[in-house]
Amino acid sequence: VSSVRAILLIEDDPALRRALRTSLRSRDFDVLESATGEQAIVVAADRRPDVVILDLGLPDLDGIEVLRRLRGSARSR
Amino acid sequence: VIVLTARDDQTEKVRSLDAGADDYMTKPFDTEELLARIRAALRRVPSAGNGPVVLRLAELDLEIDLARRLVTRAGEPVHLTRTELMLLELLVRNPGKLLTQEYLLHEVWGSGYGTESNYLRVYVAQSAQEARRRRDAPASDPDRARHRLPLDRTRRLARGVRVRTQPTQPITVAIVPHTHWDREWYEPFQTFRMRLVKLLDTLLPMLEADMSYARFLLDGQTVVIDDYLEIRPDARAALERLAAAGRISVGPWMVLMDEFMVSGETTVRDLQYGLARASELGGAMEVGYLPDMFGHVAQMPQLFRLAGLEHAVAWRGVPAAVEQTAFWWEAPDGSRVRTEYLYGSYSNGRDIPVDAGALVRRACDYEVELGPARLGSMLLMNGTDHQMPQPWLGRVVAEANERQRDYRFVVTSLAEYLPAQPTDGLVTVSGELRSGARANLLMGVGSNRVDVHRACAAAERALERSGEPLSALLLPPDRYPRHARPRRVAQSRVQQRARLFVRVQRRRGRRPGGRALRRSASDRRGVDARRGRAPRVGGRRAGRRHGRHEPDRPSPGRVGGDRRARRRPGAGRRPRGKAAAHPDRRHRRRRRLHRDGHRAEGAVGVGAGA
Repeated sequence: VSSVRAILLIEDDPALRRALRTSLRSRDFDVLESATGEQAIVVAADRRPDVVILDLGLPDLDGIEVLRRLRGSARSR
Repeated sequence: VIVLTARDDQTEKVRSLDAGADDYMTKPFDTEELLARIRAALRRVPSAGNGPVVLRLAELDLEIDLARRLVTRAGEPVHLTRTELMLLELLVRNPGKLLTQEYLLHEVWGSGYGTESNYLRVYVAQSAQEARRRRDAPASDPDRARHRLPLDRTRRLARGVRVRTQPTQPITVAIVPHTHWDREWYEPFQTFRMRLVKLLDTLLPMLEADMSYARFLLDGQTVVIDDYLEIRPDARAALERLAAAGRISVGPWMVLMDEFMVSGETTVRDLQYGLARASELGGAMEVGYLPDMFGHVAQMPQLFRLAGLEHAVAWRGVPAAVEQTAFWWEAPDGSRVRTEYLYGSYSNGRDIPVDAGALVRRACDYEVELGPARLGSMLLMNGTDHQMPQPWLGRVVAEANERQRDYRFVVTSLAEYLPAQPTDGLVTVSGELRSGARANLLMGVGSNRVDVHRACAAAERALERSGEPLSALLLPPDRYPRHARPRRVAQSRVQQRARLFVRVQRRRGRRPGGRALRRSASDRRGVDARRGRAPRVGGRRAGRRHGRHEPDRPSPGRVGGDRRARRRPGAGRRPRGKAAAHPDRRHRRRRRLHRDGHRAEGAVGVGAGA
């Protein structure tokens, strides 16, 4: 069993995403990324990240809606 | 979930936390603080394998580790598909609750689903049936460890959880058994021909003995039949019987050519000869079958219409505008054919499983994959490159039909299936089909060798611009060759030459690991060897004469290398005998084969009428 923890980064600003990715990867996290809410929900359902970092201002869905869907699916912890 | 946002007002924080966030940070933020909050969040998440994500159902001796997606019963692993696991998880997490089908579909299949109750029925019923079968099997069954989870018992155990479904009209799943035949590609022609002989030696008795294996499509090209009959002349009667009964579909093409590698006239002749040959055999398949051409010429619908074909089948080149499994394809002159788009390729039904349950699940998965692209029924092309027939097909289809009412499986042919399909509301596409949107078209790549292509182009021109015009001008009317007369003996020399070129064009010059523009002497010599030399028209060697006058146009070779050769270089090639012991010798031998293609063919005693 791998001890690497997966973090899903939902952030539409590519510069910020890159910065966070770099610092998280350097601490041995497995970083999954998404620039949109719809994609994030798909990724979360598929990969089940341990932690989700969520920006509320996304281009497609409202961040709150993303939260509800992530929680609603009961598959993302 | 940690919310990281520029919004810093209280209501947003409250809304987020209420909606399920665990933590809230505002931008700009300090990375170290974020990392500390991530660590804190992780401390609250049970680590894989030892937290409450493991559910134990003692009555069933069942353990479900949701984090690791492992299910074990009595210590033995149970294999579940992703869909089955998600369903199971939803059911066991909600004991005592009534879960609607909409909810389950939405959660498992995604937000676009809610009414497809047959998916649920298929998955739950299949798993239950599988479980019963396993339970009834003797305990010593070596397969026991791989049994599927008894979802129905889990359902009963989690009291009150029920899946409510309404029966719907069954969906017809048409299975068309076929094979796709590259006559020469990563193996030489004769090697593939021996495989073809093996295939038809198996198929013909099978079709005659087993009525449930109802149909077989011989790739839409009559040349494979002639390749076979040259080796097995005695099989002619059986072949003709089966073709006349429509159990073997032959034609309409003589060969499946690359539409952009040959002249328009060659395309027309290809179709004419194919139809004529097929009619000798008992009748052509009345479908313009274009399974694997790398794009399609604009006038194809016109040619089909003129040949009396109302249906076409295509895969590559279909544009994104086609969002369903059929469309109207229109030629510049306005004639159009209903074209079935082979969603997922001409092998979308390859390797039909031996187990009926697996077949039903496959249909279900395909229905999900098609989604709104489906026009009522579903077409599964049961075959792929050089695939042998699957003798269990008839049985597994009958069993699948007995077991469930969601899908009605039929073994059929394109000629029977297509006329019954809907034509209303289909999108119309005009002209060439050269889009890479739906399938790889290998843009800028031509599937022929430069030298073969050149020789054929020169020959095409000699026939089209000299031989036939001169025949028309100078021959007395009773000696002018009629097109596609169905008796070979009645053909003129010009026609024989024309037929040769049609045949040659279809031989894609591809070899294992072949580089794009590498010249292969055997391509040219193989051609020469099989049919004498390049055609003489008016006593001169056509290629040479035209070579001088034609601008030296490089033909588009396979610039990107060969797609399939790259995917499985040398697939199927196994060294034997001496060659196996000495790789060097094997190479030398292969080089010799390339150099002296014609002699090598003669050596195995099947000179292909050379």
